[in-house]
Amino acid sequence: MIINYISMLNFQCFYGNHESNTVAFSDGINVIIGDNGHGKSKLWNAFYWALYDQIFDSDRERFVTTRQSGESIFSDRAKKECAVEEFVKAEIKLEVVDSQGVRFEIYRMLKAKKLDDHNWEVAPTSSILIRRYKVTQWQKVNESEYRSILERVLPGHLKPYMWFQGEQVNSLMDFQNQTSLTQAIQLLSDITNYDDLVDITRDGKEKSAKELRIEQKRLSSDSSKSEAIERQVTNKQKDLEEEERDRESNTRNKEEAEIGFDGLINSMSDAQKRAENKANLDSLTNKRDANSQQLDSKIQALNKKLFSSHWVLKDCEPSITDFSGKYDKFLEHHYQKAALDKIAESQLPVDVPQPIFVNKMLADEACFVCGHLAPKGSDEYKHISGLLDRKIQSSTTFKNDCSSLFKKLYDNTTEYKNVISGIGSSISEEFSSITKLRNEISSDNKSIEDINKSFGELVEKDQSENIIKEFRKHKKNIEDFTDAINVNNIKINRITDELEGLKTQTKKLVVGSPNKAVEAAAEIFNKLSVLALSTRGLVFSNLVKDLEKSANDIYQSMTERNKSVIGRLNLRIMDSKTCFPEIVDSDGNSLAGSNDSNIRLVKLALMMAVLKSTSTWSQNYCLVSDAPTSKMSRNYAEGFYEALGKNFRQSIVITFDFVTETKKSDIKINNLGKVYKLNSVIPDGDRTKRDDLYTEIKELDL
Amino acid sequence: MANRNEILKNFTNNEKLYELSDVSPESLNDISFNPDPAGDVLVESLKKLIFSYCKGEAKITVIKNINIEIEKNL
Amino acid sequence: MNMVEKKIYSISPGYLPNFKSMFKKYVQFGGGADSQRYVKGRYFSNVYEMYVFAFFLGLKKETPFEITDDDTLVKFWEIENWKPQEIRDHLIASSIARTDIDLFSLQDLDERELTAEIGKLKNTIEKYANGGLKIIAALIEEDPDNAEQDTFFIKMLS
Repeated sequence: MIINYISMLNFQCFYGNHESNTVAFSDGINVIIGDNGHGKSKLWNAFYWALYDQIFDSDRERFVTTRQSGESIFSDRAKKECAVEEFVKAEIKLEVVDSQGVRFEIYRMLKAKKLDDHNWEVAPTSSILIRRYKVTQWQKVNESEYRSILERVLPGHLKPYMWFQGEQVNSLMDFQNQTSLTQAIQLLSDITNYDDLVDITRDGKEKSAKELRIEQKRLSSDSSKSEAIERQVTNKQKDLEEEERDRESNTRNKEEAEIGFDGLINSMSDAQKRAENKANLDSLTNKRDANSQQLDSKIQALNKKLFSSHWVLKDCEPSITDFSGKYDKFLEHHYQKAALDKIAESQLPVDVPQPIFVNKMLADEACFVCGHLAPKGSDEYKHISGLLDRKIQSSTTFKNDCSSLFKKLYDNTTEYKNVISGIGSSISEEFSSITKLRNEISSDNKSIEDINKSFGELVEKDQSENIIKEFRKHKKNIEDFTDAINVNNIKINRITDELEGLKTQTKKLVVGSPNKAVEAAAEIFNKLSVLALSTRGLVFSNLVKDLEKSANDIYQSMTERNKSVIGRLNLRIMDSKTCFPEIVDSDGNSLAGSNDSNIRLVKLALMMAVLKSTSTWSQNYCLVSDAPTSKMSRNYAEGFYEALGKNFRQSIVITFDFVTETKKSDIKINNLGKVYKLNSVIPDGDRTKRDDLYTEIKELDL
Repeated sequence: MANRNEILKNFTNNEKLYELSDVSPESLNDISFNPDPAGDVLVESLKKLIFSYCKGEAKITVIKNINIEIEKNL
Repeated sequence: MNMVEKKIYSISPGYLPNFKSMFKKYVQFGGGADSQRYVKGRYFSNVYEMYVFAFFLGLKKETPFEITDDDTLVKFWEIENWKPQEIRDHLIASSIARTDIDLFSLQDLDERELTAEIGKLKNTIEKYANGGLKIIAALIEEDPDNAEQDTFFIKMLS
């Protein structure tokens, strides 16, 4: 909720009534300025006590309850002025307004009885009263609603990020701790919904798979074999889970080692040499990776070429030549016969001319058709005589004419003659290409190793022994974990393969039809599980991308005034569940040597981006911070305020620095709300007499 | 309270859904929580999962509801 | 399609049962993408591919393995389903070349006689294929590590 005002009555250093201890707030950045010891932390306590019934005990350095804080809640001066056997009261009033415009007043009070000058009987608990402004008047809220209203002022999961002290920023956004940002994302975004869906679908998948196995066992033709397979499946699944956990851990460790390695590389002093090496390294790595990919594709496709490039036909020319020979013979016979058939078709019918006329022609020694003489013994006579010997030629079509089949075979094999003769060189070429790629990759790997060695030498040249040890350790870890991950992958593939095999074996034993619903459920839950995991990954990745952009926009606006600031935030996703922030330069190199102010600013930008990721928070809740810009230079601080004003509807900043009376015009912050100065006043000036202290709250007119 | 429409949108924007189901990429955009008797069984089950989860139902109830949906679509 | 063609394309050759495990090792049953096939060490998409490879290997090395009537062979798909077509045609042509068969007289045989002749063709295919499979089996036994190499089959072509 947005805060309208807070007022105190005899609360710690705020002596006096509510009217003299009221701090009203508007939209924008409200600033409370005060030197150390002038009431800033007590104001922070006022907020805390009103909402959470706790104050910060600086001696114990932690938050304590009302009961534990005892009489330190009360103003020293009010306690001094209280007569023995009389009561002193401490009160806080906090007025807030929710997103629907409904106003609430939260009123907390504590009483104590003075027993003597040093002893008090403090009420064990404070009392609280909440009122709601309805229509035209304030109305008491039912006690049963108190908890929910207090929770709505600032929801618990937002509290660490919206109400914080400057020194807490480092732990809230610890860049050394991968889980720090991930935790913030989990708390403040809806990614947990997707985690829940992953969990539900995984559970559903396990249950439905189990049910399917039971069903298959029920229908099994060999139940003891099914049981044995089931046991194997259970064991293999355990092995698979263990291997996957191991791989996850190795992946995380490798990524951490890479981050450490990069960090050390970037801290080297010879920047030029480093940049040169880095550029070469990147280019070589890209080339090597591209070649590796190409090599993998070639190798994967190699055996396919047996058929797609006809390599399997290598050296089959002799048999094809023999076939051609057979085909030629076939053709010869085939056409001979076909020709005979044709001749037979074109001859005179057997009974034309009839034998009686043939005999007449022979007797007359003359042909009746052409009129020529045919003397006995002449060719003409013999030809006419031959007509008597004609037999009936039967029609000779083939039962199964194979001419087109064999022609097709002949044509197809002839067409590939040239291809087949070139197969040998085609294979050699492919192998040469593979060998060339292998050699290039090997050479690039060597060059990469040399550059890494050179990095090592640079580190060794100008770094301490510890750094060198650290560098070598990270390098070795990267190698070791890479190998370990490869082994994990091989084992995981093998176990997955074996599980598939067992599944097939189980299926084969099934007699009859398994229940369709059981089968469908196993299939659908498996798909839902894959889908949920994939979508979770996508949502997380998009969240991180948006967060990175938003944080960088905020960071840029924070650092507009400071030209010396370089770098931007890079959020590295690790194992699709965690996210690691780092500050990098324009080339993506880690800026390990960034100054504290820079880092603090980046962290604040990141926190704001996280809070802005759900649009309503920055509009509906007030960001309260105690000393967020301590240890920051003026430019940085102004940048922070600028971003704060732009991104949050209301904020309250308690700080010791901001403006001095004489430098009001220095303020260049837009969206400035109310500005107050706190001043501790001891009437006769004797700072040892804390009993008379009261705090003056003065609104500054800027 | 989880926003079920937003969750459904994130799933339908995932190409994996197109790979795993029989739904064309174009009709993925038209998917809503309205029950579709002729719908793809994976998509209907997914809708049931999100709907049931966003209602705050217990895990075991969500799984049961999906199973009922699968049987309905057989 | 005439009867000769029909009978040729319906040939469903087989392999000796002791080669079953080899097919299991190198053939990707049930399809799958190339990369999936590769990571599982499967170099052939289906049984006939490996069979065809073995046929041409046996042919090239001239190592037919005589199949007798007593041998029970494991059968699989008919030739008409084998792809690609041009490699299938080469297989048929080569088998014809190595079979004692009169192409011309095929055209006039009755069904019984045709079945016998085509049976000879089938036998040719089987003896060269099983001969090739025997070569592969021997290489695996000789050097099992080599049998896991990507280039194991390609190298056999030389």
